[in-house]
Amino acid sequence: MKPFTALVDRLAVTPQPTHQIALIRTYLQQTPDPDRGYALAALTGGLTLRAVRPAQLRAMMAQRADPVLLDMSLDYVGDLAETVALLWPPSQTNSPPPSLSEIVQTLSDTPKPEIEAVVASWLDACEPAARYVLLRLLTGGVRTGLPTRRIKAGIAALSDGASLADVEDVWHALSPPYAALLDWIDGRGPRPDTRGIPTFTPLMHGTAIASPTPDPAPMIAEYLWTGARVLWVQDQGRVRLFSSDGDDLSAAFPDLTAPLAQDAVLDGQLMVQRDGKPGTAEDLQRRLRRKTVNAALLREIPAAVRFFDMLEHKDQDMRDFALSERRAKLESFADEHGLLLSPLLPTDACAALHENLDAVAGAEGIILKRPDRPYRAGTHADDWLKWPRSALRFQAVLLYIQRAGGGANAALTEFTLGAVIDDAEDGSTLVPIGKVSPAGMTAEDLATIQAYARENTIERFGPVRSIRAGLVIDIACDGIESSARRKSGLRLKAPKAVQLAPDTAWQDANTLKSLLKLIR
Amino acid sequence: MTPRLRALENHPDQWLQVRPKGLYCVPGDFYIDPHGKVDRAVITHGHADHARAGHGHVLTSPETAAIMRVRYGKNCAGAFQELVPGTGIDHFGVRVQLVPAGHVLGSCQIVLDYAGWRVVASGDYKRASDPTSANFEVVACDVFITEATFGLPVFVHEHAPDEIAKLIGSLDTFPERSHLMSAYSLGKAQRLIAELRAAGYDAPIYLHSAHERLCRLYQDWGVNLGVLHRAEHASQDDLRGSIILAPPSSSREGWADTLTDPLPCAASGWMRVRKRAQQSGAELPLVISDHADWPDLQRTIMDTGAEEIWVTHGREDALVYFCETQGLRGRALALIGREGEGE
Ligand SMILES: [Zn+2]
Ligand SMILES: [Zn+2]
Repeated sequence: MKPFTALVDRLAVTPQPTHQIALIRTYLQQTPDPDRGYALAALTGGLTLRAVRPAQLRAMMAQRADPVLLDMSLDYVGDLAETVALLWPPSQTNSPPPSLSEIVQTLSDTPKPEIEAVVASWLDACEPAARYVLLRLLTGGVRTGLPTRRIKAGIAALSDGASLADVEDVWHALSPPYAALLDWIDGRGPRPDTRGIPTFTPLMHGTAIASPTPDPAPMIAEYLWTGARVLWVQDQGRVRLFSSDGDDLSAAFPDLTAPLAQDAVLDGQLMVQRDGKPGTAEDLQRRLRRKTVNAALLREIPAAVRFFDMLEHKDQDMRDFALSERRAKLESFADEHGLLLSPLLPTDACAALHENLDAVAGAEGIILKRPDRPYRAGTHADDWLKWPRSALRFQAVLLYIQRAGGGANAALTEFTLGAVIDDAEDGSTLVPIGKVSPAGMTAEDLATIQAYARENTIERFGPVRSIRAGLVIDIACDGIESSARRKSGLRLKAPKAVQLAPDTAWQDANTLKSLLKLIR
Repeated sequence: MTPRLRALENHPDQWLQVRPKGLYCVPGDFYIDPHGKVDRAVITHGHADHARAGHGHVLTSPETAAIMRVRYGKNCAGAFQELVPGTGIDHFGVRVQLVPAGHVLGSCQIVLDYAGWRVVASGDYKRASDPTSANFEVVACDVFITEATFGLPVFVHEHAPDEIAKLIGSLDTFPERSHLMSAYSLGKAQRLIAELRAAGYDAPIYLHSAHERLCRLYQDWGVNLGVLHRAEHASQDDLRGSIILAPPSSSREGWADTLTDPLPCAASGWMRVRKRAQQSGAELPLVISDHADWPDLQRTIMDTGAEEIWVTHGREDALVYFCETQGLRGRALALIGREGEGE
């Protein structure tokens, strides 16, 4: 548990991909099989050990801690697993902390009623840091926030010959603890066989632009859709759905993985619905976060893919074909198999369409593509140009609200936003960064803000009141400029309030430092 | 405690009072760690929120007096009276003794005996061993005035040698990157260096200029810190893969910009909580503190045998609650000017 804990802890505070890869590589080098294989599974979300439920964990803790101190601690830390990890009483046990493979093995051998006692004995044997990682594993996953690709890059870094593409190629053919993969990486075994297994290949991406420059070359245009980019792969009748990072989403989307009459590899945007309208980001996350899905959720939040590119058809690799040719094939294939397409837009009307994005449900921008270009992984200069609705999105803390006239329920007219200053020595503080109109937020969000302000007003200055930090708002804006005149050092260009972010603690909203980095 | 002759009208809350400038001893006419200028001050240790310049007369340990002179200048007090830890003086009927607090070099608890009552003001303290500071000594007393910087059960510090091993291990994983450790210049910097030396790390360690004078002072007082160099005078080659210590605010200075891909490190009790660690921006947060953690706060309160606990700067509520569960009288002392303890 100790080396894995150290890895997870370090990854959580290491921002740069190359350094993350170095940490993964070092860990893989120093850790024996099968532990390192299970670690890979844990880091890529492939190890689900739901051994204890949060309520159960809380009850276990309540037997071992003073209730008042437990509450104070939970309040300060804000996370149950972390609080339990820190408050669990030190024990005199001499048994070493369990290894990852021991945990996996024991959980599969232990009858359910005895699991709680086993977990308690593991917590006894661990230090606080290891307890935290253990509890994350046992309550649903370690969640480092690293894309699966990064982990695979760490594996490739360990090998002499294999590239990231090689690792991605064989990854989905294997399962934890990935003995065959690691044998091959270490040069002790052959390359694992992947024929007949749908595998992920990296996607092509657009370059973001603020506005299109008039271009002599002809372009085709489509909407950029909200949702999640996916690769739909059918090989010898077996279908898998991958995220843009190569995560296998198949188990969570049985509604999208029915095989078609012909094999194909298709690129598209996964979108969810609720009540016949495009779902929110939260709805999408609810589907994406699941390892499996039940019928109720499938009905509540159905999913669909709008396809826009075709990379393979039967045994033919079409990546070198020009986009216009791939598009023609895709259209006839979609027609034949009843698939949903992302429609082409009249290129000369793009500016007007971009003005009117609000009229198209689910559209969040326009993408322009050169029809004569092949499909190549990554971003390529001006092959694909993304023209999003707003260049920037971030989260800000609500500091002040202004109302039209008096009365507790008078309409909200203006919000003052704040960014977190996180390097203050005695904790987080906030600095005002700009004002925004509430227009565009739902009535429900506005009611939430009104109710919160009633309970949490600090001071009133005429129609303005300062409220206790607690509400976080998703903000979209066209850009951020530097401004020496302002305390914050920045000015927001055309900021818009999008929605409340109820799952974000105010301390986790964007820091001033992170916003200053976005200045162009 | 052995029963002593004492009268309730002489209870410490009669003669030891919270005044606007800090904790004031009425019969002795002196303040303990006052945050404003006073005629007579008794100082626990050299941190800025405890030791300030401009007092008329300062009673403190020889080390703390030396630290104050280095930080604030030779004439930072009208007069210094140095008291060797373990010895005491009588002052207007109050006996004043200094006893090591284990916090930083020269840090002391202040033991006051008056009218049959004994009060110990801990200042900042820790129980964990530290090669740069004399160990904390328990003094039995009637009233114990404790700090509470980490007065919440979640604050459980790591053993410093285990954390130092992480730092040394990180140098193996990232041999090209300078490990830029942010540390306050009194206590934390020297302790980290001494712990590194104790772990067998004998390469030169590079210092920001702000750390130089106090490191030299520690060396003069016999603390072994090994070979130290100024970071600004070192070449890029020297700094590659080295450990550099700098004050927390210095990462924005010019010389730090010229480092190729430095790895920011931090060492503090706050690093225990993941959110705080992530907010610090450190890529290697170490849970090393110069303050007592929660278990040691509890243990120390019980060890003193005091029936009454006064809690100063930090999170008073949990510790006062703990005292109540132990049948002790807990009281939060609202001292001003102690919120910004750099840790
Ligand atoms: Zn201090
Ligand atoms: Zn202090």
